[in-house]
Amino acid sequence: MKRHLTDEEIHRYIDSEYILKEPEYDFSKPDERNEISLMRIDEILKIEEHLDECELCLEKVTKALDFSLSFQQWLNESPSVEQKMLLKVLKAINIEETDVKTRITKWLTDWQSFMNNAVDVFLDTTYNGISNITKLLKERVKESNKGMHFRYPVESFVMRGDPHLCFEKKVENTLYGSIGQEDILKITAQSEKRRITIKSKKSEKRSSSPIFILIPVEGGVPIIKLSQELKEDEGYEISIEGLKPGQYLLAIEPEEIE
Amino acid sequence: MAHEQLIDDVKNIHTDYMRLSGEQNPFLTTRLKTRIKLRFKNDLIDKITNKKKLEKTVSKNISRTRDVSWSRIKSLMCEEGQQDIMEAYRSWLFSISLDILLLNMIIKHKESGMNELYRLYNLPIKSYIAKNLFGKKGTEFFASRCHDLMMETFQRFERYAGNFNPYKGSLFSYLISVADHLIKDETTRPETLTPDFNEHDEDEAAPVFWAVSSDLSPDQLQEKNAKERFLLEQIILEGGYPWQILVVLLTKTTDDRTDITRLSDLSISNLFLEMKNAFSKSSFHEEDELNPIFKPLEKSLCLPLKEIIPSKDHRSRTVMEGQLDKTLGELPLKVFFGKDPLKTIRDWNHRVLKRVRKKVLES
Repeated sequence: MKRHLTDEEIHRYIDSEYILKEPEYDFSKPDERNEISLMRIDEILKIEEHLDECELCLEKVTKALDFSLSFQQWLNESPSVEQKMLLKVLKAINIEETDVKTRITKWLTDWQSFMNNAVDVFLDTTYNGISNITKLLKERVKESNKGMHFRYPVESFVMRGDPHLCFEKKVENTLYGSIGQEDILKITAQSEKRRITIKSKKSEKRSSSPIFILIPVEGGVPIIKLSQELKEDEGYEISIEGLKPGQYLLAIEPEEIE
Repeated sequence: MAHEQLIDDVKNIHTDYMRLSGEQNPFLTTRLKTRIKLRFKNDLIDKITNKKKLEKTVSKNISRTRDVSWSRIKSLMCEEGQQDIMEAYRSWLFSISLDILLLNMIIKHKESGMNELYRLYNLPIKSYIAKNLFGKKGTEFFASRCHDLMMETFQRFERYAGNFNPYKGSLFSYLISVADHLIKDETTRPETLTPDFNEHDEDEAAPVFWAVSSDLSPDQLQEKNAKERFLLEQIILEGGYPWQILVVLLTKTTDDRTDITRLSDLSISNLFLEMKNAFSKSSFHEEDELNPIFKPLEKSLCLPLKEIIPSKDHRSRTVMEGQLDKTLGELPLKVFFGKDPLKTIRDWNHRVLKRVRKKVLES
């Protein structure tokens, strides 16, 4: 073929070879398969012989093919819950001050580390079939030597008659965040006031007050809070009140980011 | 004596076969070169820009293809009335050479190899898993398990690609066997065991090198978000008739198109609401961001059909003759479907792609 390919030929070639081609193993019944006429193999070969010699047409086909495949890919993909959360945070930080925005942008570049410092918050909602539950869940946080790890405070009960037997019960609406042996964070979720309170100790590694992001999982705008410095006990505190019942993700800015 | 004769015969047949497969060299050369240039340009740019290198790569591939094809000749099938045997044979040879090319790319950790494998086979593997996995089909949980198993199939394949032997079968059959193992594991896993119990050390292996990963960077995610917005705007402005656009957008929300055919009694207005609700779940945008994008589509629901179908589209006007004075939003979806709704959906999907592609490439 000495002449250049027409747009129609390019599109038919792409559709025949990449878009409408039957897969090698097709699970649909023969009568469900497409009836749109595909190019015959000899026509495809002529086009490809031309593409081997013509850079201009190759460029055109590449562009059209890339668009067609990205369209098909988009039709078949959907974001994960975590990706939707990340997008929400990215949109929410646009209205923040430059310093806070820069810190969060840096923090978000490593999503895995972001998730490793995040706990699930269930506020007056249903969890595992139980209604009106308020609890902090640390399940998604991977235990590692580095960084923060979380633990619940425990209440002890002793069985009557046997003083040596001890039972422990986790208090699940409070969570301690620790680095090494030291507790540096206390998170409390309160059902009555629909409030989350986070108290954080000062540390040498942290030069400014930590940022906390509370992301509603179901829908809504993430709440970004820069904690307030407490004068008397050299720590930081934030309190978010009036939250709607539901599931949230609470992300805590790690110390290393700064 | 008979055995000697048989061995001689086989040797002669092999010589004849090698001659026949050698005759296909120009065909395979052209096809492979184009495929490399179109799909692997990022990873094989040094070969593409150097003619000699490209020739060498292609000729090595073809030589192996001919050997492999001889050992797999029994798998060559030609369905009656579909195409002549030589056409089937050439397509089959090309599929082997493509397997060999993909395998080489994947073993050398070239990202485009794994991406192309995923593009070619993710949907068939997912439907294979959905057909064979035990569970309540049609639920969100089942769909999510199928998706996870499909991703796991490709990730496991990537780890064990070196074990694949092209002389024994196709890449696709190997993927199916990986998927089969995973389905079996799922079926035999006691429900009482926590997921941690079944975790293997290999899950902590090196990170996935190909692009289809759930760990997207903020930049990649924002890029996807922007791309979706652009595509949506183009689809709504240039995609064609509102009912076609609605159905194409609905196909994004489901793996099974019969889900859409089940909605054929719904009015177009209700279908629009259904689509908006379902779409926001599978979209990179929130519902409030989608509303302004969908506005032109929503507006068209209040128009009578005769204002939507232009007078030059005689065919559609004739088919819809009795409905032209009715408002589009009130009409049920089924009036727009032909005899076979699934074929109609496929056709609309292709039409919308063609229109949007034409417009985007022209601009």
